Amino acid sequence: MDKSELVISDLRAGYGSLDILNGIDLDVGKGEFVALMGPNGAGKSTLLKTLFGQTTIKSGSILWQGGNIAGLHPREILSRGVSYVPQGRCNFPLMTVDENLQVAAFTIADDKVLSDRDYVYELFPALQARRSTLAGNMSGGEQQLLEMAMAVLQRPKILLVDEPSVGLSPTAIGVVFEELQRIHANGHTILLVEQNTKKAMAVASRAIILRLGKVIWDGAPADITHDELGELFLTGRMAKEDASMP
Amino acid sequence: MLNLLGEQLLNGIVTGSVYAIVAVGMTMTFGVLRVINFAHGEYFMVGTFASWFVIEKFDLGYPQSVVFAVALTALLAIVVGYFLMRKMVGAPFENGVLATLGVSLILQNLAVALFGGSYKFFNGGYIEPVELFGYGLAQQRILIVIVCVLVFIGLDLMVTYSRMGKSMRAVSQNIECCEIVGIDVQSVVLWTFVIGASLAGLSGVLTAPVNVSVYGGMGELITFKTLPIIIMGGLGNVRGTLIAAMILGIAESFVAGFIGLQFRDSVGFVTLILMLMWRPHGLFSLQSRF
Repeated sequence: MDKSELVISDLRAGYGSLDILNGIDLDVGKGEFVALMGPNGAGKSTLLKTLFGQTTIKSGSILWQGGNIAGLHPREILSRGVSYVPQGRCNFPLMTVDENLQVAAFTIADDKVLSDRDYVYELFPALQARRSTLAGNMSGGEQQLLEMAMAVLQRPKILLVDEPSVGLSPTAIGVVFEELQRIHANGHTILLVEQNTKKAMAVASRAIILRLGKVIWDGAPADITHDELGELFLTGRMAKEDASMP
Repeated sequence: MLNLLGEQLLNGIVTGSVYAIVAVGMTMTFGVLRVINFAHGEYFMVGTFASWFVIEKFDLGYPQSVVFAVALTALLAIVVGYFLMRKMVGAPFENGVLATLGVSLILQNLAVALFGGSYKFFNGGYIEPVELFGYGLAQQRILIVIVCVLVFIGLDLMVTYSRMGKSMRAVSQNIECCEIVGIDVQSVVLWTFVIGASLAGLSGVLTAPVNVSVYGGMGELITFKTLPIIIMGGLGNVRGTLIAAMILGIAESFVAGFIGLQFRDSVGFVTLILMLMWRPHGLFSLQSRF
């Protein structure tokens, strides 16, 4: 793991006057696969949105590759190599898969698009066969793959993925997670928000647990059991910590 | 009788072509912005006035006046688009209604203030009749139909293949997602609006030799003819607009020819009401939008 590419310090942010993140401190190294987990309302999705410039930041800084990106416009953040796959459907339903990929690649130089599309089709073989299908006519799983492919085509240095398993069948979830691992193996840093903790822990190299807008646990997935995870979600503390407390 | 039928049909196609060139701009603007541009007819008026002005004052030829008129309309649209229309992205619906109605009043009254309220005579274009399928038709009317066909082929190619066209479709299909993929929505809105307004200006200057009168309030009637067309065509739908404009043009022509000229201007909304009773989502629903 290289030194930290993304350094978040004392980040407070939310929507209008409503604060969701209450002082987040977090470092992410190059090439890491980080799973962000936590109960509902912990601020996982808000953290991703904040990194992509879609919320109101009250204080704190987001250093990305040495520059502060806090409060920048999403287009500026995108051009610095941060791509975002939001929760729910985010494609252009009346365009074909190929056209969706073209539109997603508008941020990169036009002549590069063709070769880059081939790269993405290699990475997502399931989409190759569907390239002339309208995005809106595909299954939820295929649309999720398309949205990840659109983000990968932007050649990001870090990929922010929000709940890719929502509304998908177990088979489709399996394919989506396989794809995430493949993207990671190709050298992309991934920050994944996921409710399906078992799946997330299985693929990630690091797990971060948020609760009430703060980081309450940070470590390797192997260092925490599922029961402990549940306890952290519910109480914000672990039983063995209580036992060791005086 | 058959003779009159054919003549009205030809007239209807010409009128439909005029409406189509105006309406397509309004429907494209609606597609990306979800705003009904109540000032759209005013760009038709500005184009006509611009052409009339340079012909009368500078003795320019009609073709040169067309270029000047479209360029001036485009320039005006860039100003209005930059300071107003692109700011409507994400704004409540009523903002768009009020703002465009305001622009409409300003432009109408500006024309009256600058050139007076009287009707002006448009002296230009190609009004020599030629024979077509046994009917006498002014050259200008044939020109209108040819330009309409070229405009729609051009727009179809642009929307399907160009970067700008794809961005326009993207904005109309999922505006939230545009930010994620890095499309500059405000810029797409601005340029879509400029294209639409310029087409309205072009339509105005093409029609002027046939209509011959030029006056400040001429755009208003066009806006209200355009409204039923874009609703019938399926808001934001380019091909649907062409077909709806032809239906209205031909229907108007038949009503004017066989029932009475005084009923002509009511045809648009009557057709709209009948059509909405039959197909509430417009003639062409989502499938072929843009």
